[in-house]
Amino acid sequence: MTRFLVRRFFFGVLSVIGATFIVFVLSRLAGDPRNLYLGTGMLTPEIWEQWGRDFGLDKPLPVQYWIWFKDAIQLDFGESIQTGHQAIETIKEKVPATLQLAAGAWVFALLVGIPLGVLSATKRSSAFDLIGRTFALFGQALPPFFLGLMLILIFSVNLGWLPTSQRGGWEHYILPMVTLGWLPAAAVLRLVRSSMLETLDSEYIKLARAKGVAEWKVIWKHAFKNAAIPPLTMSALILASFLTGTVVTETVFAWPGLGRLVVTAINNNDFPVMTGAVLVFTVLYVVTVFIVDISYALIDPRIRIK
Amino acid sequence: MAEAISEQFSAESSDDISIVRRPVHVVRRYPIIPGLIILVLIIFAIFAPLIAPKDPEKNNLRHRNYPPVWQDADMDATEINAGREPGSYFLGADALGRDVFSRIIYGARISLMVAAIAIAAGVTIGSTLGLIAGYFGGVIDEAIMRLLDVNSAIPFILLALMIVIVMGQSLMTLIVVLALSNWSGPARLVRGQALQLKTMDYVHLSRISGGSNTRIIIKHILPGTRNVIVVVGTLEVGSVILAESILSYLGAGVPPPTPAWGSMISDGREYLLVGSAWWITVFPGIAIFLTVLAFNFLGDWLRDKWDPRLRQL
Repeated sequence: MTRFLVRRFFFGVLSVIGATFIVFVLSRLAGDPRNLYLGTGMLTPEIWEQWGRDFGLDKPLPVQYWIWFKDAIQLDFGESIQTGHQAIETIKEKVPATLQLAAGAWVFALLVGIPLGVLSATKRSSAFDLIGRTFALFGQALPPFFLGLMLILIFSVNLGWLPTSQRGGWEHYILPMVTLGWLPAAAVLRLVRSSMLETLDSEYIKLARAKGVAEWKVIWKHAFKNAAIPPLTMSALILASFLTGTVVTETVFAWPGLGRLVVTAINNNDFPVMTGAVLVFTVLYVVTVFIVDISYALIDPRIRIK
Repeated sequence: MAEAISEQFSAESSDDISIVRRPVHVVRRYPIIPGLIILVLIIFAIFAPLIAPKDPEKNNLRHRNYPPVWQDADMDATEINAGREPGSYFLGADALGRDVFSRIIYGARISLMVAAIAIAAGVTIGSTLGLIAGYFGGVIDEAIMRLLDVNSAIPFILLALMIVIVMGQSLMTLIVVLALSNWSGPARLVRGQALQLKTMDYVHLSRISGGSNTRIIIKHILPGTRNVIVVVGTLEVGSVILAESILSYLGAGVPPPTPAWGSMISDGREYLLVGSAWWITVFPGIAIFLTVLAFNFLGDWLRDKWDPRLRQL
């Protein structure tokens, strides 16, 4: 088990280094960061040269990366080129908004996915099954930004029930949460459904039924408890995939989170914010995958041996 | 879907399917509707200039946000005098007076072309790496698998946006980015398949009789992975078209004024938010939805037909 953990951990660190290196190189290829100050008038030839030395721009790329990396592990990404604030402060400011949105969408995915999954497994070919399938179908084939816009069109523009954008009271959370959570809800639904179908087929369920246990008890107490393990573990991975999803959702709803921040930073080649934010995204993803791996290994010993 | 079909079939024997019900069964059994949608798309893509009623890139500012054909009947006299005639735009016109229907038709051309090239590239690269990793194993396998880890650790959209900035916005860049988005699925699956196939007796026999690694991979392993590659390739079409639309929506996809479904949706956004000209946004969205749905159904059908073990895809 220890070997497995060490191995996994090592691979996780490797992924973070690989991913940030690629992002770093891309940001350097996008242009000399000093060019961004050209219009500001604060750039004299002396300052140009000095910054070149400070940032290590005269050195080869791997060395530049190493300079960046040494500071980055201490959470020092440098100053934002656009605002002049510390990039880490800007990122910290935006993280709560994104985490709230992701958590809300996760809850939505579970609240919709689990009941619909169970119902469509236990009442096959019923109305629930049809609703569940339609829901999953739309989740897989609708572009997320289009779904968001349609929700805005129906609930904000036509019905006037909910606000169109920005962060605010609870009513501001509903549409972004649904937009971000729809596809994951469909994924949870499918997992719960297949897991329930498998469990309901097992011997102990037949025994419970033969004993005369009430049907709702068979489903929720005997079957669901066991069937819920794979979807719940998977739902952590789903949470990780939200991190990418927030970029689109935040753009549609003008949500002041990390996703929008990073899109703006990329468009302005604000490399301290950009590389910092990507590092945050990558670390969050890798940590989540690591946790999922461990929990799988704890539940299923076969994985450890492999 | 397929479960419902098999239930349907096991429930009744084929003898008592009436003439009336037979067409229904055929439609459920084979991917006829998705097939038709894809056929229409391909016809749109190939014959776009012949089918499209108008030039998709031609502005006509007098017809800004012109409503679709069934909404423009109650036009008043001043508008008709101003040169607007009822019925001239089937699905309406956008903010620059361009015909939405024609743009959707040309958009099919772009979407399918970009998706086809990107998938051909991504699947070829992915399958090759998967074959190599699975067949040789050891350090090579480890290196390729770690590359896959790194690939999945970078949020795809962010990587795509950065590449677009470095390479400049063009169709070529878009294809490269989309190819990068879909090589990992085929790589993993083909690797799994290759791991199984290389333990087969006929592979051992080929090696004993002096077959080189290249020969074994191409002659004996690759054919065994054909079904997986076709299934995963078909299933990727939907996700590549979705990815393309997301990038176009974020302004990093197909460069304007070339019509692309994603950027059309983004063009109509501000009008939608104030409650006017919904058609600019809604119709391209429906086009994406139907296209993705059709390819997903086709992919599911192929998978169930050829390789039901791939269910979890």
